[in-house]
Amino acid sequence: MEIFSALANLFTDPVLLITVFAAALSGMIVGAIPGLTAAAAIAMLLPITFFFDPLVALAFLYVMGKSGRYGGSIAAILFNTPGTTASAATQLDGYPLAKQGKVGKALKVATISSVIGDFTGDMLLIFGIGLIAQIALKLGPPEYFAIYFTAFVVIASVIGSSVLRGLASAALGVLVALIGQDPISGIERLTFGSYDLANGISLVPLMIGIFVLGEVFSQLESHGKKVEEIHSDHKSTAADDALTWDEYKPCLPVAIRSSFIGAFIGVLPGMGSAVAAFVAYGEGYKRAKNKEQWGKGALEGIAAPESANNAVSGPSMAPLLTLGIPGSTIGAILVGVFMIHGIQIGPTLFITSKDLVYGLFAAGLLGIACYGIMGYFGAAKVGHWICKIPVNALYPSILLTAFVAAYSARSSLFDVLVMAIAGVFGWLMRKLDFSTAAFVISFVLTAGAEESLRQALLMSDSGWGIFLERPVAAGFIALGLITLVMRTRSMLKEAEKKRKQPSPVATSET
Amino acid sequence: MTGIDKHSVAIGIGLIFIGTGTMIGSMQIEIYDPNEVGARLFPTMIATFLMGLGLLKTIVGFKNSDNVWSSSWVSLPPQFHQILQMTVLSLSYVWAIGAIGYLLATAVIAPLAFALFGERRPLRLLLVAIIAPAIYHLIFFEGLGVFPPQGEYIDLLNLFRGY
Repeated sequence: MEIFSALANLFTDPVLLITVFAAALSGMIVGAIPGLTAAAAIAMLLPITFFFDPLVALAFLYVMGKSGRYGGSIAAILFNTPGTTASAATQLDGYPLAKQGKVGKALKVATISSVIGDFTGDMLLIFGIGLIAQIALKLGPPEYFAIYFTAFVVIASVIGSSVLRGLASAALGVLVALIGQDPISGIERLTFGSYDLANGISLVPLMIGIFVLGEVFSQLESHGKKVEEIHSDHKSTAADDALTWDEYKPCLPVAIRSSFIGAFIGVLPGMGSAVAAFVAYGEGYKRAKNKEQWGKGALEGIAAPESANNAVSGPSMAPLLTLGIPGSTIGAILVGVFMIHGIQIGPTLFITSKDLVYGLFAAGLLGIACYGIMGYFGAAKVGHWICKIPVNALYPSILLTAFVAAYSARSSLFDVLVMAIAGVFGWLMRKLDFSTAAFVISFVLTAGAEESLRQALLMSDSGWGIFLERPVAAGFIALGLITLVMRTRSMLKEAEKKRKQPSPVATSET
Repeated sequence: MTGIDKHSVAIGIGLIFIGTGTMIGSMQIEIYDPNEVGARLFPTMIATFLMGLGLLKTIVGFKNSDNVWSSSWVSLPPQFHQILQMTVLSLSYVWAIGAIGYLLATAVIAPLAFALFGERRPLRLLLVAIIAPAIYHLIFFEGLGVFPPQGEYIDLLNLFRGY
């Protein structure tokens, strides 16, 4: 099978081995630094990967994303600050357990559960993706547009606290993507006579601005608070830091069930790790026999979100590789890597670049093992080291790196300007509760969506009716609209409930 | 005006404004056949969608008279002046790279960035001014082979290379 030959190639390539190891370590560290996400680090390093072999570049960023998701648990447990949004669920039981002097135990549960989740997700991806690619090859432009439409609507309505703002974020992402030359006719659009805008807005500086510079702005706003490590209420013993099989045994079924929850959510575009982690936590709590311990340091309360969180990683690559639809922000960033190296993603990827795809999967599997071993024995040390990083040096350094990274993509100062403006825009979006993830993912989807829409209308004898005549297309459009309606109704109900509560500060979101 | 969700109204009006601008831009796109499925289709759709969303958000804002927290049209965050400084710094950095080259621009901007984040020791700021441009130049322009941006008025690279 292809995965075994890819693994054999990986183990005989020292450059790839070092790359995977470095990615696992750096992702873990980046994910553990509160405020600095793996997505931001990947966006910043993306232009640098242009100078590397495509598989090396993809492997580095892919593994970094995986270990970054795990690294968030270190911050959640040690600093009571989630390193990633998803690890906010881990914090619920991780931090209380750490306060009891059981930091080592908490970190080990998080590590093992992350490995189980990530491995499960990757296995489902590796053995299921061939089937998805074969189905995708049978789809035509109307079906593709319907899938893009559904992705737009689902991402916009599910991410964030407001459906209207989510839809607006997605629409703004599409708008920015349309600036430049029409890819089919070459006609300039929305350039207002500017020569620089005629080449369009590049994805790489936009992402660096939104995710990296926007985060620097946010950190400036929070005064760049120093990371403070936990001070436990109890003196920890060797038994507190160790994890026995008897202690982890009850967590195993929780971790496996949560892995499948995370894998299913991972396939759906826009859902992401945070949704998976909280859904798994809720499900685990519902079925728990020791409900009174959840929220106070239950080991299962760490296992559930961590395995779900990491199980998202692999399956979220399925829509990306087969349909070109990124399921997450990290997926959207990886689209940039494919673009930089001139690789067309979609169902034909498995025909033209099969070795690359399975090489990536093999790197992912090795990456899981790497961060698992490093995390099991060294997560606490990583946490101690992070406390020593001077925050007032870290974020200015990130700022300077973002500028030169944005320039490196196309050696263009205009890209640096785009990055700077996107940084301000990204900060503003966060302040106004718009969704930067919906914005970026929609930006990425626009080219494919427009091409498939125009092709569908050109081949249609009934104009827009073609989307109703083709059952798969109609089904996806209906799915998108149903999701939108259901999400809107649930938010309106929540808003109504809040309005009826006797609180002086009420928010209402639609 | 009282009794309205002013943030929502402001956002709604902003979206209408953006949508209108997009529609104006879309109308300037050349089309050769009014029935052709061409370059104008998607921009027009997005413009209409943005205007519709903006209208809906504005209506929601006016209807939401219970929302007492939104008492002002614009509420500035407490650290707004620092954000403004960072914005000016970022845009100045872009201009400076084009005007005086990467090395000099970074030597000027890097200590300012560190100062914004609270570093006040003069010796450290001086070290940053020297080390930061050197490190980034070595990694990106020498190590990775990225072609360095040239300053329009002066460029230290030209002096170092004897141009």
